[in-house]
Amino acid sequence: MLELSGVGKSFGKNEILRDVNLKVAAGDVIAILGPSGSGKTTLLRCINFLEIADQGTMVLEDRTIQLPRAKKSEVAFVRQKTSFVFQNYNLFNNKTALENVTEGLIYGRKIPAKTAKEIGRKALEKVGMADRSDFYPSQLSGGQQQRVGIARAIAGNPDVILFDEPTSALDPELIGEVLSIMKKLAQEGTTMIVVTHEMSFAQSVATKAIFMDGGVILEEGEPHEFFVRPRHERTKQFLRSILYEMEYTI
Amino acid sequence: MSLDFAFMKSSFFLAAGAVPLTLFITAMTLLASLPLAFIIAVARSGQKGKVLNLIFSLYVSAVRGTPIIVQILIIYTMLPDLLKFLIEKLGLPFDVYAINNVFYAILIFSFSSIAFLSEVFRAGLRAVGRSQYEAALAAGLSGFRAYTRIIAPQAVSAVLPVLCTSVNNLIKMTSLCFAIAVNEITGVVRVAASRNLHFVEGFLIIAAIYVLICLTVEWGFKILENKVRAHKVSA
Repeated sequence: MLELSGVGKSFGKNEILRDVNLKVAAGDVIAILGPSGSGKTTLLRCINFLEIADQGTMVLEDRTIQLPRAKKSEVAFVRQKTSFVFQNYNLFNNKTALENVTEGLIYGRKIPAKTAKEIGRKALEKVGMADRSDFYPSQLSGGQQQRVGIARAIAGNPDVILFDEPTSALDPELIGEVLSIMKKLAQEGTTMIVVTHEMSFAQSVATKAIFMDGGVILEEGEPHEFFVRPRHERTKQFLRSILYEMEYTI
Repeated sequence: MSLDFAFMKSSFFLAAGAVPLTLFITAMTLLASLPLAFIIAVARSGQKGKVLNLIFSLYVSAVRGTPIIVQILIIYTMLPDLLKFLIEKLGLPFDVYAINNVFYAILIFSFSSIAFLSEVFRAGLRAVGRSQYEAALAAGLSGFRAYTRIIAPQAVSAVLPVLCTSVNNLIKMTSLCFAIAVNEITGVVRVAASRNLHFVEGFLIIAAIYVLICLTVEWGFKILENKVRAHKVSA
């Protein structure tokens, strides 16, 4: 459904991504792991054209798009078929929770306001935020804001949802409420690409785990394999440090 | 020192009669400046258009670096000749000397307000930050919609207090119109006071009237601020 090939991106002399290839099938939940600065977030941003890749192509549904020279219509197409959940939620501060969901429907997807509101309410219900639909972001907790962020992402019924470290900015006790919604979405067959540091989520929910370092995909595989028998030395090292940290916190 | 209360009373009504003209000049100036100032602010916030950026920043510096009275004198002495030249070149049936000075006043104040207000809006745009813009794009909004629906409302509400000051400054600035013989508040009272040399009374009345107008503007902005407070980050 979504296929990336040969994606490269540099900021000045800094090479962030190098020849990244990724295949996503419908229903996949892909967890992208890796140390900070490894290019995970940039990869996600390149998919949604928040960053313009220097090289690479994307196949989405039946369209092949050259990432560095995508036309306006192609960018619009990709943004209709994908949605983005941000690390810092990035809810529209001047809009209520419901308006945050309907804004993209009405002005991005040209859905009539009335229908958009119905869709919006359903989406908020799904993330357990129906009773907060008239609240402004500043009146919501981080976890609640991210749940609205997820509602905004699912409302347009995209092919794939891109999650950029959706729980990294949250207080520890609020992480659960967001992860459980993501788990529910995964079980319903939503296609997701998730950049995350939540190892237990990656292990239990993802259908595929990817390890990135230095702008390349070093290892990818079925999560169980990945966590139990990592092949690459760098992956082992990374997992050790993460697992050590987990033991340490326990 | 004794004040001539009868003259104060008569100059109060004289000044009150000139309030509409002062407000008209202010309103027209704002109508012209606010949209243009916002566009310049957006242009200067972007990465593209380095040359344009430089021109705008030179313009802002030039306006900021010269007293408004100097701007008035320069534009008022240059513009009519310039217009005359253009009109003759184009062969338009139009008399330059029939143009009302109010028109020049609005032009001059717009010239300086655009510069000031563009800086105000630039601060507002900075306060909103890029993440809101990205979220709007990711939600499928066009760049234009992202600005009109998400960025601009937040930028404007962030700078409402500064905007209030700017509008009040502009109102007070219009008092300098007397330099080009426009009969706004300061002008009419000054002329009346010069007849009987009761300047003190006249100027006190002018001051009082400006205070009243500015208080009303402040009150209006308070209402506006309360309206948009709901979505402001409660820090």
